[in-house]
Amino acid sequence: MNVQPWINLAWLSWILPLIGALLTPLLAKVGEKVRDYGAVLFSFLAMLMTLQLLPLLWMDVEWPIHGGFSWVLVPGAPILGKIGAGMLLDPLSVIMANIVAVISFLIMVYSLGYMHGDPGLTRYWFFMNFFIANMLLLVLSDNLILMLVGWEGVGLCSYALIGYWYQDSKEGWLHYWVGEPPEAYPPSHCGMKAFMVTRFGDLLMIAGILILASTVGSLNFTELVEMGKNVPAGLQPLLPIALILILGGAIGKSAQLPLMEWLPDAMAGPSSVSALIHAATMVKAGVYLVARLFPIALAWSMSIPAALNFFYAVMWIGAVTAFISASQAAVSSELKKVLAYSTVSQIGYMMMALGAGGLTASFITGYVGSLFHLMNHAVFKAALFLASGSIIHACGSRFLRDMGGLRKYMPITFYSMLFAALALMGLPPFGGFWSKDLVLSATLSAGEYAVFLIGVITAILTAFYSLRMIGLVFYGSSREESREVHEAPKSMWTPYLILAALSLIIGLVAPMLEHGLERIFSEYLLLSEISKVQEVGAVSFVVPTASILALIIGAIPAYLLYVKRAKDPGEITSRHASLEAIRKFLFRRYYLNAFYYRVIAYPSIRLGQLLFSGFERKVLDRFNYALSSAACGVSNAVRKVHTGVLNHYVIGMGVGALILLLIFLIGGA
Amino acid sequence: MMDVNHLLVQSIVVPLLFSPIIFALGKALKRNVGWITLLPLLYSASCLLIPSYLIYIHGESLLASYRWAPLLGSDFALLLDGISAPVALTIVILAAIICVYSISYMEERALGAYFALYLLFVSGMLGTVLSANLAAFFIFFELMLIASWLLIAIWGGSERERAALKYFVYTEAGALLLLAGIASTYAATGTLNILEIPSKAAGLPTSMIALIVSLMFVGFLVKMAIFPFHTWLPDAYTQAPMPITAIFSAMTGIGGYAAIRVLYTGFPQLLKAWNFGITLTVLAVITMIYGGYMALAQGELKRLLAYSSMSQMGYLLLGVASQSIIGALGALLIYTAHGFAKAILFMASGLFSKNLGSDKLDELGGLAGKMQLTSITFMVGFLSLMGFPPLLGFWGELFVFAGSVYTALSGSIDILRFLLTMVAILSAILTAGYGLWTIKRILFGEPSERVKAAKAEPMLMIIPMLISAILIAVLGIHPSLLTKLLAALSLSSA
Amino acid sequence: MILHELYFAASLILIVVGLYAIMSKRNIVRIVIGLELLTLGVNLTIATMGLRIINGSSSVDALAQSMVAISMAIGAAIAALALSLAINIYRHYGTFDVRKLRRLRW
Repeated sequence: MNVQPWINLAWLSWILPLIGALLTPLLAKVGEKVRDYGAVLFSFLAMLMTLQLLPLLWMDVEWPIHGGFSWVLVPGAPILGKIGAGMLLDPLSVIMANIVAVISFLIMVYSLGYMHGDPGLTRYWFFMNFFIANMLLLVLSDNLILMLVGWEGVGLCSYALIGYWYQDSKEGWLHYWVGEPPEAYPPSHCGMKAFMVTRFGDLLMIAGILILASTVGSLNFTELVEMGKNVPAGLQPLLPIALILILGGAIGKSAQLPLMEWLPDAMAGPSSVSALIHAATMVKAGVYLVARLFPIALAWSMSIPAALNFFYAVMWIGAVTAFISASQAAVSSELKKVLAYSTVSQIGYMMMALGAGGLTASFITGYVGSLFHLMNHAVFKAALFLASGSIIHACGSRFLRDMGGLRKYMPITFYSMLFAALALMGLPPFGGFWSKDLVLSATLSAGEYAVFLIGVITAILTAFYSLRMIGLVFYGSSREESREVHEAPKSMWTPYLILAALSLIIGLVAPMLEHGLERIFSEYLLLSEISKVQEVGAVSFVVPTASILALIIGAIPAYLLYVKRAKDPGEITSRHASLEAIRKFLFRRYYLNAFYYRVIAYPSIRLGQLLFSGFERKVLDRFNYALSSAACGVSNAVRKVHTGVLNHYVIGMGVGALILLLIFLIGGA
Repeated sequence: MMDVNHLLVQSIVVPLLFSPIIFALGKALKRNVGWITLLPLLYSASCLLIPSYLIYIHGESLLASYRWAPLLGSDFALLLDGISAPVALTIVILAAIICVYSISYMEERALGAYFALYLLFVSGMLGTVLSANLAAFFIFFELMLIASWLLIAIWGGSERERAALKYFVYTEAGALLLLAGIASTYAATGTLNILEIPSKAAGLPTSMIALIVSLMFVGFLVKMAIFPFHTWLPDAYTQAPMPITAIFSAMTGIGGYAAIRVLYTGFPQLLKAWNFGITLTVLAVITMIYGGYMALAQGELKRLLAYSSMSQMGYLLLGVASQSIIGALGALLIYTAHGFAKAILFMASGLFSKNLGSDKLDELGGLAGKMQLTSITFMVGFLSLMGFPPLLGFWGELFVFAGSVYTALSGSIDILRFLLTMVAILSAILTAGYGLWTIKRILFGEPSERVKAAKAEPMLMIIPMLISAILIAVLGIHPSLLTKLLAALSLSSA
Repeated sequence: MILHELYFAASLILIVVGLYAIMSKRNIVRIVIGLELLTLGVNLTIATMGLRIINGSSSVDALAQSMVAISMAIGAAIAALALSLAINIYRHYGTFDVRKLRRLRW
């Protein structure tokens, strides 16, 4: 069949928002409304393009569909001689592209109301559309270099949008800043931090990519499996190393340990940005990358057993991150930070599933579980973030302690957030339940019981902090000023209501959806030369029981403390010193953030200063002066020969003549 | 094709000839003599663009030879190929752009002499790049040196004479070692023509060749301000007048170009001398890291950018040291990217000095609100430096690292080189560090007093910056414009 | 050949004394005297070199004699010039002391 029209759709889906971004300054000259609606229009067009790709999933196609052109030609180069630019359509990219495009559009609509009246909107629309373009480029590209372009592009947009309110005004402390002293940061700082941490991950990724280029020879996703098999034995150990280095980039972008500290502070950006970039799409890029590498690593592990280390790394990093950040969410004092930690934790689940999947014969469970959870999480987390934007707007503060009792005043927001939170907790029949179960089954079927346990404990914590959040925001007695609180405007609550409803709908059709995904992917991944017999097994009873139990265990204390307000948590911690110590430890982010600043960032600057004053100035400059003084010294010494006295000169002549005479006599003879 | 060949000589000679005319016109026209200077520069640019386009299409290099000193057995030969074309084009386009910037920036003081020396400087650089004859190369090298020394010494900052002297002595010492190397080459091979050396030097032992080339390389390393020969750089850059500092990045990079020319075209047998390459790689990595840390410690924008240039030269050297053609290509791309990016940054710095009266980082802040165009180009410049796609700097860094990784992994795995390359890649975080921090300190935050009182940006200063930014972006999106030139290599090397 | 040695010895003494005077005397007139002694010694040397003893009778080579004659004339001219310089020095600097004439030093 003719694949070109489909590939054209893929090209258009990211080129259109790019054009939209570039046109934004021009549209702004025409008028504000033109600019705003124009920007949303381009994201709508992107969504239109990606939706048209969906039929591919149930048509009978030969995956993967890809096509492109030669982009960079380097004649005579031993590697990277011909870098192509092409679009790759397979179930993974089609699904991801749609998630990105649909949620982006909804958030753009939300932005119309949320960002209304802000003076820098041209910049906002530019970067939002630029982001959508780069994100779609990332998921649709067919080789690692083109993906890298999209990857860094979304990083730039993230940087620009986190630091959107770059004036760092102190008056906007309650709105624009993030954190509490001693870890309070202004927006421009948070943007820089995000860029630096992800850049470090990106450098590891570049190293990995270059190793692949030098050993395998190709960077095209469709060719990596085949050509990896032809790598000579001497170079084979490098392949797992390359994979793990590329994983470094995924860890940075998805805010997993040890590169997770940027995401909580990225909450300094507008809530729409947090929803789009830091919940639904960009942070999923890492998961997408791991999913892309999944079949490649799996195929390579047949001949190179060390490639399995890749999966171990993914799984453990995901598991530990999930637990650590869930624990941090439980004591957070800011609404968006709870959601941020939660995002990190849930992405940990996705990584866990992918890692565990690679280690077993029934890898489909892990793969589909991760992808399904990605889809669900994108939906309910975006809903949560958008709703939180309304709430912060209404209360005028980002701190949970300034909220409360909003249930009466913001009913639509309440129900949306409740639905989304229940999905997050994993309550059936919401979508989150199904995908979480798939994740946990994957770890069980891989025989990784420790990881399974971590997953269950994290589920307990998830239930706890979700209900805590709902309780603190919507229940309890309202503050005095709450009487002026009102529900958000329609353009703002429509998107998140839709998303919340979606999380329920997905849950209701989940079994069918799971089955469909498993079928699609098992056919697709089977085609990638993995001749494994996999059972699309039924989920045993252990997993659902465990997850519902975890939910109950986590929800009950939260309900009592925060919804019923039976006791004051502050009282409890002040009575038990150990609890207070734990709370402080969690609140200070396991001191990891402080570690990065005190051990890495500030000492680096200090090292630079020391090198400058101690070495450059003292040693090198002194060396220069020593050289020139020595030269001057020699010259001063030698010039003393010119005494100016006639007699001395004659003596010199005589001595010289004598010496010449001697030389002549002795040498000549 | 003969006509096209003659264009190469014209591109060097026309600015030379115009120089005394400009000097004479200086008294009468004052500042506007700069516009007249633009004429020979644009002419040189077209003289180079046309042959470059031809070699881009045909993939064959262009050689123009003239009888010169038959006693020396050499002709005055000019070579335009895949290695010299990007460099020459960068130099001449940068020169034109910065000439426009100078018109608006420079204070009114003997500007006729300034532009005359400027033309000599550009002519020297072009001659260095295009020469295929080592003696001519050396002559133009010295011309470049003397012109720049005078430019610093007369129109520089408060400590200009000292800085100029330091710069001169250092680079001249390097140039003398270069001369020693050239003389040894002549003694060993009997020719000074770069293209003939490989055949004549075929029988010589590698150790002798390594010695000769090392002599020449010390000269180049001094020019590139590689650790530990870099101490002239901060003073020269901070004391030179801003437009000259902006074009200095093109000049320091010429050391890198010369290194590539000598190594890849002249003595390709050294491409297999791994010790030689490792030594250079070590120096490159040290320079990258050291320059990065130094930049972190600075409180003045100009000095920070100077150390940043040093760090970028480390990247360039890493490409040369990779002993692989893709690394050399990366080095050339970095040359172009860094030339334009640093030009933007220095021009912005000059703008800040003039408009705001200071370039201390504490005193600038919150500029993004007041000067939007400057801020955008400033960010584009730093983003290119940080290696951010799809700007040209990304491709430069990618290819440089790729070359080094490839050499480490091809054949037998060279652990030392591999580890060094990993360290080099990770140290790119320093560039991101000082880049982002500088952007934050200057562009974001609350506007300082100076910024609030700032005047509008003069268009003549902004347009050169915009042109540079656009070039970086365009070349980054379509790097084939430069990479395909590699097909036109006069001698294919490993 | 005792004659030769005698004459050579004498000229050596003259040369050495002359050099000594130039090298160590402060007064410029004494230096000029030394110069003259030096010239004298050199002339004697040349003349002695022309001394030929044939069959008991001694004679001096004509070429050597003429060289010495010219040399003596040149010596006289040099003396005259040097003394006029000395007189000028006295006029300008008021002293004959060579050690005081140091403007051309480092």
